[in-house]
Amino acid sequence: MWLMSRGSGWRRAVALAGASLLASLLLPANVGATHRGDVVDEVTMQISYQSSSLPGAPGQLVARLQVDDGSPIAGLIVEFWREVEFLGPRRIVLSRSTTGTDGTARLQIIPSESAMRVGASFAGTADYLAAEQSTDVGASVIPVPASPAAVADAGASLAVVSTAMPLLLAFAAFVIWLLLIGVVVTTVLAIRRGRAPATATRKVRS
Amino acid sequence: MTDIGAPSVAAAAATAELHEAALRPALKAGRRFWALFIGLGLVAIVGAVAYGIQLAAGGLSVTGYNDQVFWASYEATLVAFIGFSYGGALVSAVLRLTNASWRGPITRIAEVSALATLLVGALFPIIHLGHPERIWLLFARPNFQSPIFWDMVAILTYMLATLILLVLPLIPDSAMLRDQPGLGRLRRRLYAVLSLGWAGTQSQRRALERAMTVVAILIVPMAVIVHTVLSYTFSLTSRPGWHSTIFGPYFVIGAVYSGVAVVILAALAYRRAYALQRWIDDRTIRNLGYVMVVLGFAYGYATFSEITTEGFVGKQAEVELLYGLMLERYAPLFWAFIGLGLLAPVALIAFRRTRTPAGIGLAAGLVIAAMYLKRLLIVVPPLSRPVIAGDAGSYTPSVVEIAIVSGAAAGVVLIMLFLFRFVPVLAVDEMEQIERVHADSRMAAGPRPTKAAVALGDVADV
Amino acid sequence: MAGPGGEKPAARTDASDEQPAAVDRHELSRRAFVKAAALIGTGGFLAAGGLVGVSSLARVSAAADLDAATATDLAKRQWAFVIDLRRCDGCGDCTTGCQRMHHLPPDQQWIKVYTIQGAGGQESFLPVLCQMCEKAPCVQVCPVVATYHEPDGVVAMDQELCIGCRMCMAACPYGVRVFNWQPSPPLPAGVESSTSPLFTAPQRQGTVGKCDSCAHRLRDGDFPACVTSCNMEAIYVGDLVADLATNGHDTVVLSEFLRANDAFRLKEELGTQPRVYYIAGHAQDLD
Repeated sequence: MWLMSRGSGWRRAVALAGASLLASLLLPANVGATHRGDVVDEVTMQISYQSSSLPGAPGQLVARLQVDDGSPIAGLIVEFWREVEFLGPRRIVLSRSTTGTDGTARLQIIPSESAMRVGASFAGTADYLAAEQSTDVGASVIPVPASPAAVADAGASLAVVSTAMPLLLAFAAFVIWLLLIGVVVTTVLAIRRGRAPATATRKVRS
Repeated sequence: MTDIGAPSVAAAAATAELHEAALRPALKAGRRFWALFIGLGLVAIVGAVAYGIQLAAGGLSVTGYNDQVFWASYEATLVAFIGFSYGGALVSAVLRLTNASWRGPITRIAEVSALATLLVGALFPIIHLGHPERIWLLFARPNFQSPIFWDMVAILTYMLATLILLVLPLIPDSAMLRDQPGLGRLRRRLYAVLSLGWAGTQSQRRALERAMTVVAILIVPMAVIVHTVLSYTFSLTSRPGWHSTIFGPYFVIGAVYSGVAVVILAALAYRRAYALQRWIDDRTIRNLGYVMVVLGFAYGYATFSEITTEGFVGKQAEVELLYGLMLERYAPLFWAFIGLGLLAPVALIAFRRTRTPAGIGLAAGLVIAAMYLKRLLIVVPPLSRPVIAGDAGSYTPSVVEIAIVSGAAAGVVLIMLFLFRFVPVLAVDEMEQIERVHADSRMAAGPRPTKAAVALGDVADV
Repeated sequence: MAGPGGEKPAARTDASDEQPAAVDRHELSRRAFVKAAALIGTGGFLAAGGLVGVSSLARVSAAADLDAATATDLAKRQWAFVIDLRRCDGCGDCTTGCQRMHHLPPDQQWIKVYTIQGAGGQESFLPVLCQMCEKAPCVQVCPVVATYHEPDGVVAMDQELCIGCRMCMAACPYGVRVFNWQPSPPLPAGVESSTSPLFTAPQRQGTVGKCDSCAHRLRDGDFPACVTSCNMEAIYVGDLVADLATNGHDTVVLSEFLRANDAFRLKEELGTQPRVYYIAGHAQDLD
């Protein structure tokens, strides 16, 4: 009521100033703000990969951090990574470097025989927001031999002992069973063959 | 007949007495026998009930076993009982092959005790399983590299050989004793069947001798293999205290050592109970005692070798085990074994004063108890030592375990008592064969030995 | 003098000690039958033994009963673990996480955390789980092949086949195997019983249990319980073929990671070729 009455222009100005002051304090600090001080700047990252003219030679991955108006930011730590698929999408950190005066951080990349996705991340500081970008690095024209898989070969070596021993024992067991059964069978047969006639036996006993 | 030399009235009477004596346990069953049989039967039944409890509770939950000491009394009993059966192999086979004429009166007792201990001992690989009903898998999908599989093959093969070694000499004995007075219809029928029409002809005799020789020759490497394979259950692991190259010979020597002791005790028991002193004489017992002493020395040597080798190099794990065994935790048991199992038996038999059947019997009893203890000392202490780090394990046998093992021991004696109700306790035919060969060689050798030689008395007639 | 049977005819046969000239026809055929039976029996025994002996070579190296295509597919991954002892603080969350996932009895531990005193007086914590040995002694000695190698390197345990002889427990040099002496507590509501060697729940009484490397989770593209339970991110799971390892947060090239950090294996001298690598440390990386 008192804002709308005649002669309340000064009151309106004061109320507006107070409201905007209050708003600027209470509202989220980084909404559309561009001035420095107690607000965090947005940064954009540009990433590019420059392959070497020589096939198989390392190319260069360049990450550039700049603010809205395009001016570079130096002294920020950029983390280069490579994307892999292992129990879900994962990132392998390749290196960490600091942006130079031109706002760029660089990394040499040796292209592999399959295309890979690489990227750079800036984690953010008190002054700047985080940012990241990624790009594809194509397969090399000449395949670079991959590092050998660290799968140890369970070689034969002394395994032959642990397989020979059971075979030897098996052979010994077979031979012994054969002999034992054979001995019993042949002995029983020999004794039966030489026995006295059955009828005579029964007669004498009764 | 191709039996004893020149027939004479005295020889005939001796033979008749031998035949009668051989069947005394089969025919006489007095109050003492039944008291013993029933008493042992109760112990065995308690053991069987205890096993039933173990099965019902499942998974060996009623034992004192735990994740550190997961092998204990059952495994030690397995090794011990199968070791006890080696007396049969020694007396019946080795002494036969070396032509030791004094073996005659005790071969049957040795063979029966071997079978009894083997049958009961072979139960323990089943008793110690968490799922005994799955044992058929050992035949259905065996792993030929596994020592457990080879345990089974070895024990079954050895059981067959021991059975054959017992049954073959029963053929002529059954024929000879079939018409003894006093035998009931059942036993007469049994002997008639067992005798297989034995008539003592040369071809039959040759066939039998050949068979006995083959089996005797076979059973020697088999005896070595069986206990070596049993030792592999322990030595084919990387555990300190088990992974030792001496385990194979160690187990075999220990087995024969304890096996001879069992034969001594069984022989003394039957000799005493059925007045068989005329055949199982003091000299026979003394000779068995000497064999036991020699084996005791061998076992002591092997033990010494183990300890010296481990102790000298002093690897951490082995030193801990040795300390535990000889000075700390298990020291009372270990030194009891050394004293009662090695020193005392040797002393009892070395000194003439104690070299009596009673003294030898005591020595044998000590050996049996001490060797069982030794098997426990082989199994438990290496397990109580942690493999990576942490506290030492411990083990106390439960009531169920004690009941089962006691029942098994009772079962061995029961099987012997039972078998000798049917099987003649003296190997009549074999004794007569030995006597005939002996008489032949004595006639060929010339005049009788001098009085001095006879007075020595202790000379074993090997 | 006594003779066998006592009958007089026996004495007469002594002179001609071979069988009588006239042989009974029944006796002939009976003898022939027995001989034939014995021959066939021993021949069959030999043949069976030969077959069994030859198949034994295959048996020992047999993995799971899988068809070739599945086995080849699984073998494209060879799982490994890396445990960074610079980060392990001995909290035991890996143990409890594993117990929870597998519904283990409360006192059963499949990954045990030991406190180790080092040569320099330093104290470190050592989590020990199934080492997934390439030359596993437990597989060598199991009499019924209840424990075996899966194509992707996992040493699996089939509690439907285990006879409970505990030979594998004797052979394992790392003490990672436990026995189910008691019956297991019942599963929580909604959890289905499973007997698959990749995930057995509840634990069957009378059989041996051990860390299954959470094979069931790995095959589904998920993490083992210990890896996710570790708050220090000290446990990595890796693939020797892809040469990668991750603890869920950081991902590394496995061979580089091992080489750069002087990785070692437990009881290397035993020749078991375990697939669990350790990075030496004494919890020095804890923030």
